Amino acid sequence: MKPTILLADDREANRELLEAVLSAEGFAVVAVADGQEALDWAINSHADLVILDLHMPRRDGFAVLKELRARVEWALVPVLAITASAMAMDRKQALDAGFTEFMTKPINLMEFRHMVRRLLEK
Amino acid sequence: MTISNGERRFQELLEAAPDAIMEVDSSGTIVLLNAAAEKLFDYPRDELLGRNIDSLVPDAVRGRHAAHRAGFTAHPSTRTMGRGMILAARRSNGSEFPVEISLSPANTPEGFRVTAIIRDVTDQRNAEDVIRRANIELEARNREVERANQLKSEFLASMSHELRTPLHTILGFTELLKEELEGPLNEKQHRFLRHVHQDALHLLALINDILDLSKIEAGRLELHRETFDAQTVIRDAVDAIRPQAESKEIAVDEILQSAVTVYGDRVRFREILNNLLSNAVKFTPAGGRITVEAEESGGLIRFGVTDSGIGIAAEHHEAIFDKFRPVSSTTRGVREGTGLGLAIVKRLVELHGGSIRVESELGHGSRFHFTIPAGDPGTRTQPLILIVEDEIAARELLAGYVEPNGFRTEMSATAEDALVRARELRPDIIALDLMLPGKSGFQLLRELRELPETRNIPVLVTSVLDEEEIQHLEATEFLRKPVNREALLKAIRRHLPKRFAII
Repeated sequence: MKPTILLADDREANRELLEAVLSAEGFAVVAVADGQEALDWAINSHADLVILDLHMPRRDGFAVLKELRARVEWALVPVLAITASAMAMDRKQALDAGFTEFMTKPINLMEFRHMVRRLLEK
Repeated sequence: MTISNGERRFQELLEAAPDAIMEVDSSGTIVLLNAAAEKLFDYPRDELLGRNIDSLVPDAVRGRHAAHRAGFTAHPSTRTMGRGMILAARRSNGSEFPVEISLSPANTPEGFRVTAIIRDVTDQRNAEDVIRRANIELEARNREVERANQLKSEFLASMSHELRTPLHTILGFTELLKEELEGPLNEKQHRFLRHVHQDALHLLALINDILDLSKIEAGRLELHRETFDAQTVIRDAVDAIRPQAESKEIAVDEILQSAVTVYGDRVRFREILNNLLSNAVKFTPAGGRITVEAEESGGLIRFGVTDSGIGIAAEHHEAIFDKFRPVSSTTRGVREGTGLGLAIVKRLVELHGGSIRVESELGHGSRFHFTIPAGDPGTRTQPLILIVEDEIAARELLAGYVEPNGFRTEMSATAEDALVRARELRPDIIALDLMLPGKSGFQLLRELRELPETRNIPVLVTSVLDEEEIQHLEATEFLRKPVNREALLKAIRRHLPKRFAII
């Protein structure tokens, strides 16, 4: 079965870009527009990897991570943070919060594919 | 010496005293005074003699003065001046002025007497007021500057975020199209996309450089210093640039002493080299030569990056280190890069406590010299903790906690000494007590954070104060006194440079 990836980003262009890249790699992608939608979807479904934009309306990436980690079936799923914030502090903050990995926008597509494959192998 | 002579000398002494002197009996009646007292209270001598001293006290506190006097008579003791107690006195015209008073009791054949020496401290008071006001103003201005700096940092962070967001999709979709995942492109479309891609990358480089430069200028760029072998970093940097150099048939050589140990931020040091090397390749015509040198001299490592390129005219030797200063006549149409590289290099070198300059002549190549502090001679194998504490017992206690655990300690009893030692020894951790005699630990901490060579040393603040009271300080960690042994060791290990990871 194809690995499923849950992707949450409030910008349509961002969603379409990552969706295109990931679909071409043969993954099933569920793209949602904010953190609340991601959490709603996650109630009855499962993904092998979650990719969260950190800055989103309603629920931001940190809030989504916290709620997912509190659910038994989501506790061990790798979660990748993607953000346009490039301060060294942001990276530390994200990793301290429990994100499995952290990438800064703009991402390099090769690095992104590599990262996704690595996280799915875990 | 006859008695009358002695009396005359006493009289002269009394009258010549710059302070007002009065003797008062047990009922408060003035029985003796000098010229300074007449002048100070603005009464003729005969109006003061026989007057009660209470009348020279301001109206508001006069009622209580008799009781004060009675208290002093019951428990007489010498009270000296300058104990910081400022009292008020009253002139004949009713005006009041601040005074300091010393009292000395005496039992004379005529009965109990008190000698009061009274000093007008109006000028001193005014001067103190001026200083206090200046201090308040200064503090307000400091807060303003801090606030402005904070706003600038926030602006930078959000600006960077806003600029990166659209670049993310521009670059992403461009890369995606170039990969032809959505269908093949013709030659021209490929070329167009290459232009979009190149310029988007250029824009990203600009944003990153501007952000770096602004961080440095706002004092927000932190160096993560360590002692490391520069040789390895130079080799890596040269290896990285070699493909580019070889494509222009430029030879790159390294001339290094056997071991070149520097004390600096490895990543930023590499950035300095990368910038200088890529400039050298850029401005050196095919078939040229680039040389990287390093040698130790007097606590500094001197680096040189020399190229056989187009050179820089003398009038531009300083301008090339400015932001966005076009030196078009010298670059001869080579217009890659952000124009910020050398500005960043200069600031990074200076943050390390070094300096940079260029030697060059148009058409005769360039040689960039820069210095970085040398690493500790015989790199420390034991981490060094500087304990700043004025109480010997507390100092010994902390040393007793850490020394059996593989740490070396140095002690400072004052902030002044600590600053000198911190700069000299570059300890791996500083344990700082806030309450020091003279210059306070608060002030020391501020100074440590301002100096480039001490800015990154972790400072563990030990204090009897509550954490909330000192939260505004840039302390690395706070330990409440009395310091718990385990908490101290844990905090130290948490902030120890990584090269001591085994301890």
